[in-house]
Amino acid sequence: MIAAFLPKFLAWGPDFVGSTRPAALMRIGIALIVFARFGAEVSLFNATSPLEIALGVTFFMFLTMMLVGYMSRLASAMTGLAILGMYFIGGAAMAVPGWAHHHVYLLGIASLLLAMTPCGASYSVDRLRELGHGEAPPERGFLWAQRLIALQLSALYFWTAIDKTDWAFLSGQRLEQIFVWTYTGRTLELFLAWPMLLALLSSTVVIVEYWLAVAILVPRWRRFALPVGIGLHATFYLLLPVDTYSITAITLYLALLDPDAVHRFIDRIQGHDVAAHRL
Amino acid sequence: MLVVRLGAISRRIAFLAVAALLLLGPAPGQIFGAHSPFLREWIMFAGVGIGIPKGVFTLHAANGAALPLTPPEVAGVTSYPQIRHYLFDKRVFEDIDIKRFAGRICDQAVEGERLSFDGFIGSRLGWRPVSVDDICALPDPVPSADGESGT
Repeated sequence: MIAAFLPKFLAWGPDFVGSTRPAALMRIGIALIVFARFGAEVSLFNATSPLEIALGVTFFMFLTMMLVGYMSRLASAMTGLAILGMYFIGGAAMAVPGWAHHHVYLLGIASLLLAMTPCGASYSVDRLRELGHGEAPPERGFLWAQRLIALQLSALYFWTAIDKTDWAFLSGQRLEQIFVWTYTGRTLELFLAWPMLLALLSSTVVIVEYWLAVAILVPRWRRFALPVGIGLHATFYLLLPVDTYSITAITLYLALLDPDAVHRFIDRIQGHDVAAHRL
Repeated sequence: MLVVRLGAISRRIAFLAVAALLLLGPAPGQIFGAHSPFLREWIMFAGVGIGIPKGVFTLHAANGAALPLTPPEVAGVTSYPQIRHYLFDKRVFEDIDIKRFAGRICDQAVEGERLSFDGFIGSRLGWRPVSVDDICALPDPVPSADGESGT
């Protein structure tokens, strides 16, 4: 049985090869989200010492390189290390408000994992430079780290569901507490009048999160899992102050798609095969 | 050929190692309570709403009149501030912390007035019933040392 499973596992995971376009799109998307998340906090106008100026300049230099795809993998790695540095040192050790949050960790780990993909082989200055040398490098490469991003999303759903699997959450009490803090004195306070609805919402969220942990990895279920997952994150985004968490998770959903299908889809919508669409 | 094989082997080892970290990293903290900042736990919003009261405060005047007050009225807010929840310094973790939540009323109370509370306080285990007859007579609470739990 293991002999039959192992080749499939290797082909799915560590030996997985495919189009680099989804990884490149994630690189660009994550870089833009990091700009939005840290723009105000790490920018130079906030600096209180020359060291903070230097760190800010370095951070935005690597982040810009990641965005445009110049030395893409190095830039993504340095950006990821910088974010995780802010998470561990600034957030966990120095208690800077907001820096030890899950959405910051997710941005850091996603950047590091992207650095392990050939994320500069598409949509990048790196590619442009190679084309300038007369070469047309293939938009293909080993995507084992893209599979790791998928596993990270699966783990995230599973463990957050584990955390919610207790009476306090399933009965709606924890959600009511969250809503009391968030909605008191605001229009959505009306939610608090329906404890049964809160219990129903709580149980639904937990069931969906357990299901997503598996369904996003199963090709047959993915066509249902992706809209459900995007709907879940959109709901979180609209109803709770989740910062960049929802948009980061949705961006990382690119890691769940068949990269070659994404490649063909982009070709199709850009009309690459249609002469009338060429300049 | 040897280089290709070594590359494949190292890639497979790296994949398994990182996958194990991502999939099992939260287990020590979330199952066994062995928390480490280096093993991210996925406990989003687990701290939001903790320490916030739900119930009725009552201001008893010296002449026996009773004025019911909502928790936001007692805290002096129309809605809770849109800040990180752990920066709200009025959260109630022990019963005596409710004096900090009601500090504004206690500071303004005149001789003979009494502030009581009957309701619940948000906790990780659900709503915790709390009933305090004379909040302002409680000893002063120590400052909260709660960190960024449940982020």
